[in-house]
Amino acid sequence: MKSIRFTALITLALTALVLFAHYGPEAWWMLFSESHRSPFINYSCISDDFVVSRVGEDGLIYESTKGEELDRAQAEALLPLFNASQLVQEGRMPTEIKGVNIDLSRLRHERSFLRLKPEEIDSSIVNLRPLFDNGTGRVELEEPDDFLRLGKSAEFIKAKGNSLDKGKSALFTDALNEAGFVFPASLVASNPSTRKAYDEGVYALDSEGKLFRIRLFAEEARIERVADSMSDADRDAFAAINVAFMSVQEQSNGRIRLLFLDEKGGVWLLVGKEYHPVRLPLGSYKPSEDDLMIRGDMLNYMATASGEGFVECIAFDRDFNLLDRYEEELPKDRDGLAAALADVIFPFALEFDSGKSSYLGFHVQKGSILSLPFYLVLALIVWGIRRARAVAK
Amino acid sequence: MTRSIFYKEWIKTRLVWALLLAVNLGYAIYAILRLRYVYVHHDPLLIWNSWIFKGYTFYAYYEKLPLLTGILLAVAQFLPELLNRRMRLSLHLPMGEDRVVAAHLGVGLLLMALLFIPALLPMYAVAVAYFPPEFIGGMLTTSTPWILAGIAAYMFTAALLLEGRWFARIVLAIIAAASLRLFFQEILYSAYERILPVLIAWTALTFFIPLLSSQRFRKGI
Amino acid sequence: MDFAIECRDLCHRYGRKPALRGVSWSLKPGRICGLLGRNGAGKTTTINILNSFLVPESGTCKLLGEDSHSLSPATKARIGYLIEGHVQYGFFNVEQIERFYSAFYPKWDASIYYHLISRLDIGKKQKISTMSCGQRSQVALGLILAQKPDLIVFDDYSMGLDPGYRRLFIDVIRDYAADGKRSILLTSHIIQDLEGLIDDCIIYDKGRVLVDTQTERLSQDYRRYSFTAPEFKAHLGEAPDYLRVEQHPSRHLMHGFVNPDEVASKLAQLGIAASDIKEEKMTLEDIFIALTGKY
Repeated sequence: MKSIRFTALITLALTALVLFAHYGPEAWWMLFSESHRSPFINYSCISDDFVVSRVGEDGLIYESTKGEELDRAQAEALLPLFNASQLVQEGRMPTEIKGVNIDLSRLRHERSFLRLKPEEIDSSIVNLRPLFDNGTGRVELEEPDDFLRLGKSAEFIKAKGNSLDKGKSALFTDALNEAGFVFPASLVASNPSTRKAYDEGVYALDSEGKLFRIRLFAEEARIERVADSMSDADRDAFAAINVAFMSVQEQSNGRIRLLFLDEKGGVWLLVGKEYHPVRLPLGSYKPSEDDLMIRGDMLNYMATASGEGFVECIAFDRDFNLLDRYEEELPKDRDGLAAALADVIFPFALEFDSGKSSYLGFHVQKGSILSLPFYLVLALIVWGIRRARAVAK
Repeated sequence: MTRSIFYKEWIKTRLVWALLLAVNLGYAIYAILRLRYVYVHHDPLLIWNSWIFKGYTFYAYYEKLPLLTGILLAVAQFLPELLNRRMRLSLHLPMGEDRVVAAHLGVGLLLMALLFIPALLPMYAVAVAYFPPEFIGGMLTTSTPWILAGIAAYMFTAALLLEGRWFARIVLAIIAAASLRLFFQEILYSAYERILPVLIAWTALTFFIPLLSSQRFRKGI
Repeated sequence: MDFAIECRDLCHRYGRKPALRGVSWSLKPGRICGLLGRNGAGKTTTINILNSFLVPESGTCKLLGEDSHSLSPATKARIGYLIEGHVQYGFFNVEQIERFYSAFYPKWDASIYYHLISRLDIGKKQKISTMSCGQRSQVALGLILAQKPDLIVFDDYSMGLDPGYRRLFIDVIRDYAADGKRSILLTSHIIQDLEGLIDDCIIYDKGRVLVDTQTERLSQDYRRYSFTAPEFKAHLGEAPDYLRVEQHPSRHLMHGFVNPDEVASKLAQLGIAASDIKEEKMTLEDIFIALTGKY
């Protein structure tokens, strides 16, 4: 009887505590958090400097990294490849930059844009992926009626009838075995979208950590051991990397083949026909916390990482030689007096949905040590009032 | 004696139970028929794609039903005990008061199982026919929190009805609503996979709350 | 075991309002005791403590030798309890409820129950919720008697019953208690029915025990006298012997534990020049009202 009472009371008390730690801060920050837009940063192929545009009180403000304020026309002129349509319309588009002829269709073709968010890395997406046929003779990619499961073998499962396509499965399993792929696959990546120029296929690490590219072409399996296409130096360098996450995002020019992260959170690209590994030397980027954006045009590549309190941007030339870097500390959404008070009022804050994963978890943030005396004083006051009332009775 | 308690609870709740069974089965059948319809009249690929890439699942209709079932079953079981403070009859049975209440709750759990299983089993069976094993795993981790919410809602409703004081009832209602809301966060399926063990443990602990309420009732608190 | 029920120094308050102020009494085995008192005198509070639905602020209460708050199942099986208003499970029918209760009581005797039911105009499949209050009272009573308890607590058994059912109820209780082994405590508002039934009588007034005695002694020794007298002012204060004097237009009344030969001197002591003193007959109800007042 006593133990039941004790268990029930502890359950209720702990539940109330958890609810307070969850809803308290949530309500608090609904009231007090401020929104800070991260500035948009671009690398100018004209000034060889970054152009920072941020939201001011009267619309967008453009600045150089030296603090010079630019008007809109100046800023657009500094970023001709980014603002091409506008500049063409105004007749201000240069025909040549740094000795490169600017041709509008090539400009469009050479644009790339990749992004990576924490919830894509820690995702509950099922390991079933469409493998598009690049050899159908059609302009647009056609959705296959089956899905590839790459595990202990390659299996193609047809949605209609929920059945295994034995022939196709055997075809790919055999082809993979022949290419030296050691099952089971340890990491698989592909891009299921049909809204892309071509299908890069599926990248898979085998159980020995070797990277393979798997494609379907005119109903035939095309397996490529990535290392085979690399230069000797690249092959050795790549073999030393422990790939922790991969993302396939086809670009119209096909240069960036694969975006991947190593176990330490380093960002890498495989570039060009030889799968040349390029490390993007971002300093502050944490894959589990921050957003990553990679953009490219005819002349430059840029990588931007942004997260709570910072934005970091690095610029490269076409061959991924580092040109410049820019970092800015940003005000946090949860900062100042409100944050200091929250730390005292909430000795710990609990979030279930961190927004950085497609899974829920227990994300606990400890408050300040000052909350201990705060609650002691509060308890004392309550005790005092109750005592005073009892005495009055 | 426990069998006798079961007999009493069965006579008391069988009508409501039958209604709830009809509703639970109705939901399951509707979900299954809809799935079949889309399969036949549209593209199976569409269903698979929206499952794999958007997390849509045919059984999502069932989401809030266990919650509602738990609440209604608890009301059917304990509201008659609340009226005229009839719980005094049960507590006077020569059985040990905690055992009597625990037996009532046990019956409730059994009746709930007999509602959820008939609804979930056909959905699982159909899922096995239409989807690969990945789907079944996701279905388990996705639907378990709903079932847990139903059980916890049952326990809290029972506690609320057995509780004697309005203030305590309000506190219980707030705790119940605030915690059960966490079982229905609007995000992707399988989202609960990692915190499921904690949810299961917590739901198991809610069993003690109605017992506390009945102890308080007996003390006249 | 000396007592079937033993209450000692029971005190309880609802908020700041006292309900029981140090109540002590006991019920000897084999006796029938009426717990009487006006509304709000503390009867229900006592019954709730007896049946372990209330923990008193202080004091103890024992049933068949065990603390009313931690009765063992075996002891509970020896206690029958009629809830105020003959509350029973309305969703059961006559047979179902018998089947339900029979599993709990080792001495269960279904014939007692069905014997009682047979006298009523109800079928075995009739649901309890569809019965009249009188019929329900017989079902509830039958269930209690079928468990053959050593101690029965009837809380306000007369509530909602017509005179016929009240009489039937009393008759059944009387028969059941005839062997002199059953201890029974009952509360009621209709005191005239209890006359000749209850052996002992406990009267509560404002949370205290006003009278705790054998009914026979109360009927014999508590007397009422009428008299005429010129206008008087009587200040009795906390009078001993529960002495009360009432002024009426024609004949005045005095009652208390007063022998006929003491009446004149008592009245004289109070400064009342009484004449034409006559003893009047009193029912138990008259005594109850005389003791506890009309207001």
